Amino acid sequence: MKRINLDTFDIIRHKKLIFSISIALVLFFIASVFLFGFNLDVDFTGGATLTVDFGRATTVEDSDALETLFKDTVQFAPSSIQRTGESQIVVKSTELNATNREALQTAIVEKFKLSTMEGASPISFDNIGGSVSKDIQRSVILSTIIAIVLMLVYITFRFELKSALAAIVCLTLNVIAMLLFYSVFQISVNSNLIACILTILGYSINNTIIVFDRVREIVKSDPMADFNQVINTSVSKSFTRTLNSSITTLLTITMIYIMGTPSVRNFTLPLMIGIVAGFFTSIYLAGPFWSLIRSKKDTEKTQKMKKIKI
Amino acid sequence: MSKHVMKLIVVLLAIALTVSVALCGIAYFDYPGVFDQDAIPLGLDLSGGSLLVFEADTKESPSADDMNAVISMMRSRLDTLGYTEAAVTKSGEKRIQIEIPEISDPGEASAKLGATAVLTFRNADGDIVLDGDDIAGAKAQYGPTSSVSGKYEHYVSVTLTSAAVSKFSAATTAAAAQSASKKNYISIMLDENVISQPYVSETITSSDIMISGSFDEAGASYLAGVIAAGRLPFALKEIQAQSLSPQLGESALTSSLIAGGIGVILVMLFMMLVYKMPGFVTSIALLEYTAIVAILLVMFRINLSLSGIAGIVLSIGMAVDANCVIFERIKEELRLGRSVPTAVTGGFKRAFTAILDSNITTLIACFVLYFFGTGFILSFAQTLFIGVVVSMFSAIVITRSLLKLAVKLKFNQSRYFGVKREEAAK
Repeated sequence: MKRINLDTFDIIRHKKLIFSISIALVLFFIASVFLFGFNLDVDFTGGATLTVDFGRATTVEDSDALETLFKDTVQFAPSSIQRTGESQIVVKSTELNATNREALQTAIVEKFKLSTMEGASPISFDNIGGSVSKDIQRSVILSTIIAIVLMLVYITFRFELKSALAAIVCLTLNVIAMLLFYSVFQISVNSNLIACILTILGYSINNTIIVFDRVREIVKSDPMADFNQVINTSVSKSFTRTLNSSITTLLTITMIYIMGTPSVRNFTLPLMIGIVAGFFTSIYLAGPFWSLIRSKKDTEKTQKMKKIKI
Repeated sequence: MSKHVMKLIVVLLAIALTVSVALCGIAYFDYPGVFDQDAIPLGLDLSGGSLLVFEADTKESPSADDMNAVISMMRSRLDTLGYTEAAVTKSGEKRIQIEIPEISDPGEASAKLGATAVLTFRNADGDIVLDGDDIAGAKAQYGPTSSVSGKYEHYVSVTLTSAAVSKFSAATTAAAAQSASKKNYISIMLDENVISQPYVSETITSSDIMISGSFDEAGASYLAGVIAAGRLPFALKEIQAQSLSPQLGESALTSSLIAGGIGVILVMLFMMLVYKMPGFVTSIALLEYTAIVAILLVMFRINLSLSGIAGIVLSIGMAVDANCVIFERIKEELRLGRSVPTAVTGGFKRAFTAILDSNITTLIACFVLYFFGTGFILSFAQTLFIGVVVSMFSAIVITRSLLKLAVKLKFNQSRYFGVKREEAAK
């Protein structure tokens, strides 16, 4: 087996390529937001979701019949109707009041002869008023920003401000990669998203910190070392660990993805994307970016030192 | 037997003990094992059930007393509907959240729960003598209820509006006159339910009425809440209704648990393959880690939802990650030509700052989620928090002590750490 010689892992040399890919990703993201937008769930828009479990494979006829039944029962058309999973049909509409929900429940069970065992209903509702969805939106944005700012403060305290900025750029790119995925594949964006985003923030900052911890250690023992060289060494030395721990985390999450129910899948897929993105940003972007924003001051310092030496 | 073998046996026994406690609980303390029924309360997405959120339909923030009155009223209505297991919590300033487990058809409940409370005081013939408009306030109190006995009791003090005093005095006069036929009581009713039925022995002319009679503290504040609810200055509006069928939830839980189990086994195999002997140590530590997390989940009765399971899976990843960091450091030290015991000590020492910093940043995210999140986000924050703290303990204490013991027990050659001798000698 041929082994990569990690000692000559020159990441800085490829920094132009790395930055171009990162910028391209951001551009893709912006384009995708304009082209596809997001498939916002009722958590964010307010409204109702109605999930009917048929207990058997569904057909196009089922979904058409359900749409007609919906219209006849509540006197307005649903905004979307979609067959998901093996046996479910999801109907989305504007808010449904208790009377309408009750009427739909009875009508659907009767029409499709669905079995209702003691208290269990084959129909799930999720009805969210506008004020709640606004609150959810606010809590997503607020908690993400607060978490990022607090992490920034902590990293500045433990490392330096510029490393914190580099870490935040990586995090943002990870979140963008995830959101791009949500947008392109039109995965429904609901409250789960906030859990996903914060998981990825927490996880990928780990990887970045492992790299920066190396940098801190090397700079401490050899303050004269060329910063680019320090970055290269740190990335090389952290590479195996980052790869292995990303693989182990992916192992458990992938298992849950493979065996999970549709709702669990919706949750784990973006996590997988985030972890893969986290691996790449922490290895390829974090170090070079730190070096980029640090280099001027760093060079001056080094030159001064050299002059004194001469 | 050497000292180290003894130590190893003690550590392994301790691990076996935690695992068995996690699995079976401690019968003596009635402490349940993780798989026992109801050991871990399940979130609605796992148990199935309904979530209803009502909001006070008012511009100003309602007072805390008013909201407590709403909670009492909701409890009363839920009990009447037979949903005794329902949980009522205040969320934010003007919202009440109701979780009804195992009922996935909240239609009827929603309409009844959201109705405006109708409070009436009625005489024995069912005629209304007072209604919500006549009540100025109600408070649960503790003090002497009778000047004769001077006994301290919990009671409810109701204040009537000045207009109601004469109405009530007429009603009590009429009621007291019927004491011979035992019809000398006034029923306090919320909607159509009798909440309390105090007997009247004399005409009451004061604006403060005392309702006493073997209340405990909770009973008195409950009644006070219900009476106060009859004069709520706002209506309740349903703003969220969610129902989940339990079949869906059950299969989600079982499949996630099985998947998690297989995932952990795969992780163990991977670690043994990549890190050899330390990987084996990690597997034991991981077993202990899972057991401790399970015990803590049961102990703190963490409400487990799907997102909570995700939090646990993630923290398993982090637990393993700490081990990867340490073992890579040990390998490096070995490649520098250090002896195995020195390399192990050095590896742990050098890995420590990285593990500390990375875990603290994750904990920061946990705290933010905990304070700003609601419902299932809370479940995620709690499990991730427990997971991260235990993972640090697992890596820094369990893995280290086991690995050091293993080295002392002659597993002290670099090849056990996946470093070839010629590499180490370099």
